[in-house]
Amino acid sequence: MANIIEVAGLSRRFGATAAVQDISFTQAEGTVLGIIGRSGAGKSTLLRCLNGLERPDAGTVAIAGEVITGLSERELRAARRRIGMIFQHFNLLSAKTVLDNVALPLRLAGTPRAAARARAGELLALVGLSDKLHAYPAALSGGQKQRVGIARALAPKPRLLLCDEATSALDPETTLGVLDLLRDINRSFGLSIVLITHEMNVVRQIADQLLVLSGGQIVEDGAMRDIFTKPRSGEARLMLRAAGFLPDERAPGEPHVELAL
Amino acid sequence: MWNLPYSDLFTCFLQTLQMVGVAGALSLATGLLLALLLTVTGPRGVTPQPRFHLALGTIINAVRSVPFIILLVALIPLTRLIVGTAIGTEAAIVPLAIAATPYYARIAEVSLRDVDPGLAEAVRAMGGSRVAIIRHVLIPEALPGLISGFVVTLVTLIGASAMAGVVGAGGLGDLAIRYGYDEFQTNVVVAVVVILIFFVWVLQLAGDRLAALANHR
Repeated sequence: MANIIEVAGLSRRFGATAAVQDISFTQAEGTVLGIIGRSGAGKSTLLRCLNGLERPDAGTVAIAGEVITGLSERELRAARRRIGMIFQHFNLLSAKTVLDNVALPLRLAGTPRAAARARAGELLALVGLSDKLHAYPAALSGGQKQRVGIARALAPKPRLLLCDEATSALDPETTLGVLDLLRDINRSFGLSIVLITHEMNVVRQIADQLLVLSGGQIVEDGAMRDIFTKPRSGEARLMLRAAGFLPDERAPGEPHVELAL
Repeated sequence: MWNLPYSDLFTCFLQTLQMVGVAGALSLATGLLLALLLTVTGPRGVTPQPRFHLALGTIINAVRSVPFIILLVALIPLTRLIVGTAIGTEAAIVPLAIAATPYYARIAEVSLRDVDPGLAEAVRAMGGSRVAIIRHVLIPEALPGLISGFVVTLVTLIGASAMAGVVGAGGLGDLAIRYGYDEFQTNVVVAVVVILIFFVWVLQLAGDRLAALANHR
């Protein structure tokens, strides 16, 4: 299967600190990639490099075979229309109705208003919000807002969906609902998904492939199942243990390095 | 009734209306433009330009520092260039607009700066240009504050227009000074004050209504 993402030697610094450092990985088309790490591990910067919101200092990013690093701002805008993105705090426009929020990416791409609204209506039906078309985002619950965010991201028929801590502001039940929806969309449309999170529970629900990030570097890259059953890195073991997936496995006498973290 | 110079009051009210209306419209357009420039070039803006931002901010602060009565006199050559004369209601509009523009620019900038940067990022992520961010994010999201700030600017303009009598612009403030101070007709001063209170009250009410309509948060 072709790769939807190919990243090679990616680095991005902010002043003296390296947010991400020499990152390379690939993601097969149609899969869900979970990127997990603690806050400050570089997840957000890495995700923003994937749609060019952040310009890397070094390295290349190719999305669906197109190298997006080195594109001009104008070319990048066109490329971003093929990459959807949803956010932790939803980032819906409060001054637009739900319908117009979802229609916006199409309007920006030059679709006539009526056609954009028709497509937005279909997508809102898909995410189960047909009764909220003319509501303003302020009237919605967190889970509903994220569904609008998903509908908006899907409007231009992207091949890749980037999720920036998309469930971190939601309660556990709502989180499951949103993850189920993402999984359904992944299966029925073959849409590739990248999901960054600090919660092992989230990736366990949905990811095929897992990247563990620590200090701006990849410390583990493999199938989600393998990492959950046989974590090789200390960071992955620690995160699994913190989430209750691993028993305390320290042998007596082993130095308690992990506690010092 | 009450022995008031009704036709003078009416004429002067129209002069105040003209000064505040035209200067207000001009300061709304240019002030908003300057506020947008300040916001997008600011450190957290969509296209940070530190030197331009600093230069524009400095000019705005400089104009705002000059007391209006001094601006009114200092701008006479410019007024003559634009209007053809330095005396009269039209002539007063130039300094009024120039004083109100940086004032509104700063007020509008506060509202624009308060817009969640995540919204601009979302529009950028969907392939939106900077113009799209201004049109779909900055202005509509800040609209309630932009409207309220404009009402504040208009009320300030009403106050400043009272000084415009210095360049023979007329207006209610000038009338109050001529009748009340020069000729000791207190009833005229009272009438002017009552009209101004009513005027400001109506403006504020209309502004609040409009701002509430624009607010969907």
